Amino acid sequence: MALPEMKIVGLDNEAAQKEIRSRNMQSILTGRADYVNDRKMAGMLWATTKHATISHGTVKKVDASKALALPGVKAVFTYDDITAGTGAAAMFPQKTVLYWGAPVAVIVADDWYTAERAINLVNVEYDVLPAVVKTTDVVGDDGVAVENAPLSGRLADTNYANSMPAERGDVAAGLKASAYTKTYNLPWTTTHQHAPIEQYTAFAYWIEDDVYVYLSTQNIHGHRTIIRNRLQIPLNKIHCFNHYCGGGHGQRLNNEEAAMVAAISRKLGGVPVMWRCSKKHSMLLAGRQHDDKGIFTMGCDKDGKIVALDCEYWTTNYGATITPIISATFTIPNLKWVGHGTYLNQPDRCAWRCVNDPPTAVHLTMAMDDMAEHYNMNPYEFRKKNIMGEHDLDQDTGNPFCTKEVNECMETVVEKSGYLSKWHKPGTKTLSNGRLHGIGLHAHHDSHGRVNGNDRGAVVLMTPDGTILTENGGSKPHNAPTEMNIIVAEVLGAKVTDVNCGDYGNTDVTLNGGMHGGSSFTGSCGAAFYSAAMDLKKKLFTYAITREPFAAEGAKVEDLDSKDSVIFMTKKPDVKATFANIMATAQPMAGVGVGWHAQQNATATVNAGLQREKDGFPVGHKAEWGSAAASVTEVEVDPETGEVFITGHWNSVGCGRVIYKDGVLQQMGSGSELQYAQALYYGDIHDPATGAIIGTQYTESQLPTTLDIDPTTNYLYPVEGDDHSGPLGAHGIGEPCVGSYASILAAIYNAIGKWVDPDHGACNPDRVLKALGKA
Amino acid sequence: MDNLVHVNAGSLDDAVAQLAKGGAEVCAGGTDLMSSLKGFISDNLPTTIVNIKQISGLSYIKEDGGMLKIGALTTLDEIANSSVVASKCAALAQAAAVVASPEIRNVGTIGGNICQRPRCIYYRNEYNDFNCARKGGKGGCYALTGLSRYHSIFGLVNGCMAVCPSDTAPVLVAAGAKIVTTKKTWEAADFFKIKGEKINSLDADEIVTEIQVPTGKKSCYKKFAFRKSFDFPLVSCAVVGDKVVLGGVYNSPYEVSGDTVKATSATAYNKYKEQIANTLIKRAKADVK
Ligand SMILES: Cc1cc2nc3c(=O)[nH]c(=O)nc-3n(C[C@H](O)[C@H](O)[C@H](O)COP(=O)(O)OP(=O)(O)OC[C@H]3O[C@@H](n4cnc5c(N)ncnc54)[C@H](O)[C@@H]3O)c2cc1C
Ligand code: SF4
Repeated sequence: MALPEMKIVGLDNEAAQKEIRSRNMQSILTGRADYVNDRKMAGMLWATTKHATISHGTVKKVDASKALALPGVKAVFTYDDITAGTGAAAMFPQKTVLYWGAPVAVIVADDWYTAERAINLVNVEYDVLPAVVKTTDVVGDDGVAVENAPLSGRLADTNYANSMPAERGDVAAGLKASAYTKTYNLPWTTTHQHAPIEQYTAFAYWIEDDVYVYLSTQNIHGHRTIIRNRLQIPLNKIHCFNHYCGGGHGQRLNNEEAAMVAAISRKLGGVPVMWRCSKKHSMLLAGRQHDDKGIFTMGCDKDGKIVALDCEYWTTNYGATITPIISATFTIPNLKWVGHGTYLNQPDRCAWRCVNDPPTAVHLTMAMDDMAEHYNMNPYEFRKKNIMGEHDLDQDTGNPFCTKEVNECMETVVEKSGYLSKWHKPGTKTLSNGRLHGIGLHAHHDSHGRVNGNDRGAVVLMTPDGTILTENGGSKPHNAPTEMNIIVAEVLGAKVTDVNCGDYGNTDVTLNGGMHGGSSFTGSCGAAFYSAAMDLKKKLFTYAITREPFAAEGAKVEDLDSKDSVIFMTKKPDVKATFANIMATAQPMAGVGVGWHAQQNATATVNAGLQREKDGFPVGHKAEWGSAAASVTEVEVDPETGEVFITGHWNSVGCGRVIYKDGVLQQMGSGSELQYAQALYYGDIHDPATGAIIGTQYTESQLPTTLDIDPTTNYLYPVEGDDHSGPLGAHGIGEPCVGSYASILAAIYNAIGKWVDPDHGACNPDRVLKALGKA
Repeated sequence: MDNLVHVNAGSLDDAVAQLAKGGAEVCAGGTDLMSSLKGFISDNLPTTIVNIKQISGLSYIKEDGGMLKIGALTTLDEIANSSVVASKCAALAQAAAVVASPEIRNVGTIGGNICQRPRCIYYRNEYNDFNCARKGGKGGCYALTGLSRYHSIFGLVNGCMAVCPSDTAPVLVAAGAKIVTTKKTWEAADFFKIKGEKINSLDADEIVTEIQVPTGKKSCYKKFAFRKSFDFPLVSCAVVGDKVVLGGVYNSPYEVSGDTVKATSATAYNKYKEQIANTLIKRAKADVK
């Protein structure tokens, strides 16, 4: 589908953008936003979780008699009560314990505190099995598998899997032909629970054989399917809702708690049951960022051009796939990737904000900065020799990229930060206050902004007064509905303020178009809303030509256009009617659309590939998705205490066409500020003896507050491009800023002349002192 | 939180009588007590809480005969912002100002600050998953066999290597302060020797009423924590006159003789504290006023 001539409403109209934003903000700031936790119903019961206090084993016996004797406790459910016989592996309470903190029972009581009080009254007996609690239990720091390590029980016969190896060219020959090669043993990066804001909650009740479920998820449609699969009832009997969601970050997706609470409510005769996580349980049960380690061998020619890169990679995520940061940022003719998912008796890891970028970004940065030193270049010069350009084709497939902004992003932050005049050889600049000065650079192409929308759907309704409603499957915040509204306004030729969110986060009235994954939403759901708006526009114009003044002119659909909610004849602009005029006599109208898919391996049925011609490739040609980011960080390091002070943090992100500027800046701002947390503060704290996560309180886990992060040091530069597969040229920007974790670490390196080993956590001062040889 | 009996004490005598019944604890600002209760952190938590906030005459700051006298219910915020405290014992105002967050300082009292429970990461773990030596449990000291990153570098007391987490405690010891209770007047250094779960030697039915701080000496307080906005001290240093006392490195405030310290029981996890302590000693001494 060729895109129409574009003039993005949102860009023109700052006032409209602000109004949209304040509509969103008001409900949150005034406490009127309704979270699942806020649900109240007469006769409702409350449920909490009994967690395991071993790291590996099987539940032998659950003795709930003492808990049941506590006044107010109604029931205690175990694996045998909820899952056994359903065909599912485990619907929340587990029989096999794979990590400390795993749920082993659910306690239901009249009120929350009674349920909580009963936790320690439930007595669980286990058959305890040997556990692997640290990465060094399965793989040594040299990358060699530990012999005779106990099995974690996550896989039948191994603790690590080789997942999706990738190779292009001939790495062995490339390394041999290189003028200089070096092997880098790169440290384990940070792991932490990355969405601790809203505690996990699920609420369910039954009316007859219909179940109504409210849940704190990004993906109600996915949960509806899980409930269907577990409870074996038709989808149209399952009604899932989520209005507001306090931080998703790619990990509130496909969990079991909704199915569990629906099953419990059914067992209790359909009464409303609210299952809620305590802070600690939320910390233990929510997915967390994986920690990664790499051993890279890089070879370059005599001028510092990369000839070959051989990567062996370990991750506590279970899918150690190569990321575009390695495969699509720099020109690397010979590349090999072997990734090992490492299986531990620790809480589940999930994608870090949708991508593997932060750890890989750090590792590649470490290797490249060292290479730059060998060639007597600064890190920018080395990258400049190797970075891919706007028109380069994918090195594996030969396809064009939908958009490729990485070089422009890097140039932007280098210029804005004054990087070239500030950079110095590592460990060589002491400031007058005694602190060490450092500056670091990072740039990457990543997988955000993808348009994998062929399973996305959208509904757009025209009301009788000519205003428009978008029905959105996702929950409300995240600006996603507002982006959708702007897309709809642009395509329909409506005023932005005439487009409002209808229902959202409701599987009954939305299509599966609403998973509000920030990274893909604009592209995938935006494509669906684009199509829905096109559908509605066609219906509206088809009806309009039967009404005056267009009927008298004998107008055809193709004679009409619309702007600011007014339909007019393109050749006779004075022949016009407002949407309201036309709709006054019309039947209600709805537009329906599905998304399209850009990538080559898609099973797409609709408009796959390029939406517009790019670099000579025709519409419909397969294309690689992408987004890009670059950052420069400037720091001061106190060599006596190891404290790191960020004095400047410049971030640019390739945003495709910007259709909602405020939203873009918000996404970038939160993503980049988060990196202060990831790099300097926040990390899981494990008990080395048991593997238990013991930093379950915000005090201990070191989540920084807004007072720890000086937003005036955070500079944002959206780099506008044109995504040739995105709706209106736009794509989701998600969280590419998260790569700036790497520039922070690089800046510390530049300051102290040593890489800090994050040791699965953040670069806290004790680790900086260690790197300095002072601890 | 357990189903609690809540008693509003009419007077100090009434409060002491309630405590004497057993299973009871004083509640002042509640910032420490409530989170302990809500987290079910120990088997030894009170079932009766005795609210003393409405007892009059326990919140004041005054100077009297070369002594700064502070009522136990005085909030940390009041102390941090008191010009009297700032001029008579600058280190105490500095310490109060860096306790926790503004919200906690607005409610939390000096009495509560010197009577809190330890912040050991195992001790505080919710649902009492680590029933350790400090709680009288059978688990021994988990930090000793596990993560000692936040713990003592000068050995154990009663099998426990948790540190004194109070920001005000090192200042009170360095200043030679006295802690007046319903039973006696303590020297601060003795008061902070641990007896049970809490960070001091108080009896279960003993209530702090006043803190007396000798004035007239130059002083300074420096605190080090990973996170600046709100955090317990990993290491802190109070200098009052010629006395130097460290916080965050031992079960009680740790008095320093000389210009530096050498850790006697540092582990691979907490060795950094020695470097920080020596830096803070140097910087606090340089900044006394
Ligand atoms: C998130 C957080 C961060 C914190 N950070 C710091 C920090 O950085 N530095 C620091 O020093 N502290 C810190 N604290 C602890 C804080 O200082 C204390 O919570 C506060 O001072 C306690 O005062 P309160 O009046 O609220 O005491 P409460 O919570 O009411 O009581 C605490 C304990 O003291 C006992 N108690 C209270 N008053 C008396 C009295 N007059 N006589 C005898 N016993 C009494 C109570 O029985 C209870 O056991 C932090 C606390 C929290 C929750
Ligand atoms: S340091 Fe003390 S409080 Fe902490 S685990 Fe050991 S005994 Fe318990």
